[in-house]
Amino acid sequence: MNKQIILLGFILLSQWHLGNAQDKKGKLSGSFETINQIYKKDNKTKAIVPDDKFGSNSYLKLDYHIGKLTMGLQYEAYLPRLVGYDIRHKDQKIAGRYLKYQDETLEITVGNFYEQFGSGLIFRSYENRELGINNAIEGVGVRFYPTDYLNLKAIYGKQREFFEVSDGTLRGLDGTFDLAQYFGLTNSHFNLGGSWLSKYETYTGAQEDFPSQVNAYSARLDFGIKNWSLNAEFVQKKDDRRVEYPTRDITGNALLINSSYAQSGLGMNFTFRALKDMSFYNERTASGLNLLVNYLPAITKQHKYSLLNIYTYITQADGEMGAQFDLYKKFKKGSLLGGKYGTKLEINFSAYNDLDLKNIETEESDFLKLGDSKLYRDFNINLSKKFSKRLKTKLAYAHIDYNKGKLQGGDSPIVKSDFLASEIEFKIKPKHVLRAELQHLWTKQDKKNWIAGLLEYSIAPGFSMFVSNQYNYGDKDKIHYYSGGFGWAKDSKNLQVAYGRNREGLNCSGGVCRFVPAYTGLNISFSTSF
Amino acid sequence: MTKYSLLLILSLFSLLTQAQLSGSQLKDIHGTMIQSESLFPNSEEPVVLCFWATWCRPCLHELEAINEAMDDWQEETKFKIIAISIDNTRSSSKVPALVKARDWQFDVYIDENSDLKRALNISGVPFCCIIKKGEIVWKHSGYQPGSEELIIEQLTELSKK
Repeated sequence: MNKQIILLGFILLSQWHLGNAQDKKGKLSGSFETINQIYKKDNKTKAIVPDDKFGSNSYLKLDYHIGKLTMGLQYEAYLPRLVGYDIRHKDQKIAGRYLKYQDETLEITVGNFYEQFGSGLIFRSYENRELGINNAIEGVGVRFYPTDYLNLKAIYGKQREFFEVSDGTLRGLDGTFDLAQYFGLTNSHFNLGGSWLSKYETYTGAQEDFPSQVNAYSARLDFGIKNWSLNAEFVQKKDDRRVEYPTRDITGNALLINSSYAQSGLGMNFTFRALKDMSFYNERTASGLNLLVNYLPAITKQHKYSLLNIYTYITQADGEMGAQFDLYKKFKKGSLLGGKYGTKLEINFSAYNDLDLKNIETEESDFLKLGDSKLYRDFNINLSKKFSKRLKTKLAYAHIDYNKGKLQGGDSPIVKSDFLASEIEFKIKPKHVLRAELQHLWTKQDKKNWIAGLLEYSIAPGFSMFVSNQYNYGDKDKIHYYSGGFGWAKDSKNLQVAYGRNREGLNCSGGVCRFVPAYTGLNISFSTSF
Repeated sequence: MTKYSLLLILSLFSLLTQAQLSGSQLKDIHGTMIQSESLFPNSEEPVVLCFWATWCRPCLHELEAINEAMDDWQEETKFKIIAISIDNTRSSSKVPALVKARDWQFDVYIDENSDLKRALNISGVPFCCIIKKGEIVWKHSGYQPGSEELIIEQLTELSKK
């Protein structure tokens, strides 16, 4: 304790001394974010109420840079954690610290850092506070740019697991070679890249020949000429055995292909992805979102409407194959469909199936061989039209087929749903805008029909308030998920206060989007950066 | 002990608050990697930096509003606008198609693993800031229709200095 007091005194003294010295070389920056919730018992929604009816997650990040050096830390407090967060998020701690050296061609980081190889299919460490994910590497990271056509990365270290570190150690190399730059091609781009990632975790079990090391490799290319581009990445992961299946020696594979065409007023994008046994964990016993080495997001549209986030696709890392197509079209001002201000059209389609089973005993799938089980279908259209300087409207339609049994477990049938939404934004007077949104979702399965409405009034530049309701009138419980609140923003400060019933999903209001787990009560969040 | 040492180091020079603009890796819309410092020349001309994502509705409203006002703004003062998408690989491949289709008049880069967002200590999108002579001189979080006017007000103010 004495040591801490001495240190604190020294810190204050040094602050004062340097304050007088006016040393303006070093710079400090940081951010602070706190989310606080007070929970209320709600028999209707069966929302979880913890013993302590209060939840609070707070994060303080500080970075200091001077010349070629940057250093920083992140303090986190879960006192106690918000509802929906993993039980291992508890107490408070300085959870991350780093020191980075960088010049024009080299960057070396020691401590906690984030990195991604290629599209993340083989390796991605990142932070997502809304979901409670932070799998930062604790070790050494190097980025090296020896020429303008070569980009090299190396990582070595363990992964963060809540306030602890993983048992497994990761080693990885990644390189990108810019061929277009090398050959001086100006009208096209052409990159080739490759990665290697290795995980080592001691094995002390009884099984002979059980590998302690898992190796994964990837190769990728990005090619584009004029308005068209093509990207592809292939990953292979060798012999990643789980403790529960010690003899199951299975190779994981992933293939991602993306192609885009874009010109003025028109854009199209097509993505194909196939996965087979691609859950890549730092530890053999890990599961869920924790300790993942690679990043396998659902390649589907992230819907902005609340009711469309009831049936969201969940990546099937053990076996899936599917594709997504997007079309963006802008009918220009003065054209027949564009009218005076232009009209925007977006069409999106995605479809995913499982893979054919190769071995019933080991449950191994056949890579790139499409299975019979339909997992997900989503077809949606969005239309935006501005009628005058004061009036804007939006119309949206979606049809989603959702294999709830396969995606979430249980014995549910495929949920077939249709969705329609309309939105009006009306400028009452300068900087005062009223937005109204009406949504309806029809389905004969699961929880049947939903209707939702939202009214939002905003006064620029920083105030907004809203009331909303999502009513599950088709279900026997007939729950109203009502909510109301306000948001205030100035400079980089942002305050949001809301009270109501929250269904799990992405909540966008007052200009900021956040993922909110299910609860009933009061939410107060504040963030700032400096 | 380590945490106290770090606190000490951090507090030693905490006189100026300014985020690190260099050292982040971004992609242009063709997928070519670039270093963030190349976007912010140490010049008099201000750079407006707006963070957004394809799934963030207020972000799209803000960028559309800026795009519509761009011509008028350019007549008032000289500046540059850069939009940074924080879409990760779930949706980053959609960025070029969306940007071209909407005819946005500004450059767009992709911060796929939030390198720059983290370096600038940004909590969420939408978020806009103005950079002049390599330093952040103004920032604003969130968007309400009409709040884009703050940007041109600040730019005009800066041009007088």
